[in-house]
Amino acid sequence: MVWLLLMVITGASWMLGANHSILFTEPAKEAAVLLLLAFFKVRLVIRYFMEVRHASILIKLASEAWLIVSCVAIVALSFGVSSS
Amino acid sequence: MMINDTTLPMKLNANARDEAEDLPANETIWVFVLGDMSVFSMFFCMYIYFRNSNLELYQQSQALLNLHYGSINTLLLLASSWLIVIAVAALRKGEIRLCRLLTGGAFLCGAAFSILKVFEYHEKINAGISFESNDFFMFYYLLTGIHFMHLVTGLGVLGYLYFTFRPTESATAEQVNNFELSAIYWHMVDLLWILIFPLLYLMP
Amino acid sequence: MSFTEKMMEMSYGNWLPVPADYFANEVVAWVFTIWAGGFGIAVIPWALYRWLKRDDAIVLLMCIGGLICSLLEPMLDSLGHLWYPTNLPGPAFVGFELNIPALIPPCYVFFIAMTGYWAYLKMKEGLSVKGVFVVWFLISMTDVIMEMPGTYTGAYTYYGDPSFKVLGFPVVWGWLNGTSMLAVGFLLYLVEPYLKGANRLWIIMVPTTAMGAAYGMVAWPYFMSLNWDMPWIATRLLAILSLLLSIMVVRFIAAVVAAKSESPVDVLVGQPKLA
Repeated sequence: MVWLLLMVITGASWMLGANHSILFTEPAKEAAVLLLLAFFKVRLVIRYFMEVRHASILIKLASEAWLIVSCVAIVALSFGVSSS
Repeated sequence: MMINDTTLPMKLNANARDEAEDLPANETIWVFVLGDMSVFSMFFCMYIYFRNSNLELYQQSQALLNLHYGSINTLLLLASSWLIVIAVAALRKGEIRLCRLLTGGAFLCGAAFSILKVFEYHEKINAGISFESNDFFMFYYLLTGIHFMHLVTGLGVLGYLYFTFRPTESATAEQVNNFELSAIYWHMVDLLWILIFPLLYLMP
Repeated sequence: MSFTEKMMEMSYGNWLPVPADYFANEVVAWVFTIWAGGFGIAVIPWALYRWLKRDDAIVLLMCIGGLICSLLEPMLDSLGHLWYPTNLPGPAFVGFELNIPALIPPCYVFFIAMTGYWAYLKMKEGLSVKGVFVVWFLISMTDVIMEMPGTYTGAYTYYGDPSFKVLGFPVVWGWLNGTSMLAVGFLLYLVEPYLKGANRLWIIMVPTTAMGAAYGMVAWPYFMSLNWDMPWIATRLLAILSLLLSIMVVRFIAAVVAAKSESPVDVLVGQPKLA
């Protein structure tokens, strides 16, 4: 069932990406949504495909730390789009 | 020559040899995978930073990319990853034949990705867009190129796994472990593309 | 002329003309800095974890050793005809009158010390002769994979007419560096069981000594081919000689590792006394 969910989300994010500014007219918001969706997919891949769900607490912590730091840094930087 | 200095600030392990079992292969693969992912995160931050400083150029150049190559490739890699997930489950159940079949399928998806990628590069170069065209295409070639190297390495691993499978009764614990480690690497290749795709192709 | 003046008198080396200063593209400079140096930084949390939580300081000591080992780089750049663009972030330090970019020390942490550490782990698990050659090949490939994007994009350049250039990367460096990484792992494999207490700090010097030794053993024909006028064919033959020497050294290492892997008794100096 998880795999089905993943494929649906992938399809949805692709639809969103294929049609620019269908959701938001502001590019910064659209960029943030696209990136957050990508990071959500990444988290699913890490947890379910890489089986971090069942891994040791350490690997969980390390991968979540990577995810949060990368996601915050990249999305925050992308907000520079609107200011420039 | 032996000095037993207990006041040493560092806790130096006097008997690390006994720790051999303490350092599972799983830990090394995770160090590598997370390290690699961190390097890519730094790339991505830098890309967005440069992109912000010259947004128009990046948007214009980005419009020259063919979105569909990127999308289809995303789906291909996701499918490939998914096949490997089922393959791992099959291997654990001892269904080696099925596992081998699924690995072959995953390999074909990966191979299809690389064929599309080569077509895409070819198309770009024919259109006169090369590495030196501008900063966006420099990022484009570097990020996709480095990812491509990872992918080719992964294909090599999958191919090796495929051809070394022997349809014996059941897989050894070592075989299962090796397969799981390769699977983690292959998912990382998928995961990196999941991020590269919106950054290079989709960003507004 | 006083003795002091004599000591301070300039002597001129017989250097080939180095390339003119050049600038790499800014994107290339930064991407390559992260590509070559990022792994060395990313590995530090793990090294600290091994030390603090698992009571195993080897990884951290090797990382520090990698930083120190990077002091060899200007010698290799000089003899091996490597030239950096002016705008690579840095310099980390200056040696042989060359500005060494900031990426070099972290690059050594990963691509000398950590690849060596990995080879050490493999040796400790036990390797056959063939296994040692496979490890050598794999770590050589890490160097090729790391360097080729750099040379191809002009993040730095190998000047002159080095043998066997592929995408701007003389593949000779693949086996030279691969052999030195293997030597680093091998030296650690040899000395680690004997270092107790404060003496374990000597692990810091493992990368520097082993890498220096490896380059002395296998790189001299290649460096000769770059720094001395000779017929074209001679340069290629000398480069191949460095490959043959590398294979020989790897075979030596393999002989010891395979023998130690098979026999529970230490074949070199008898079983180490474990406290």
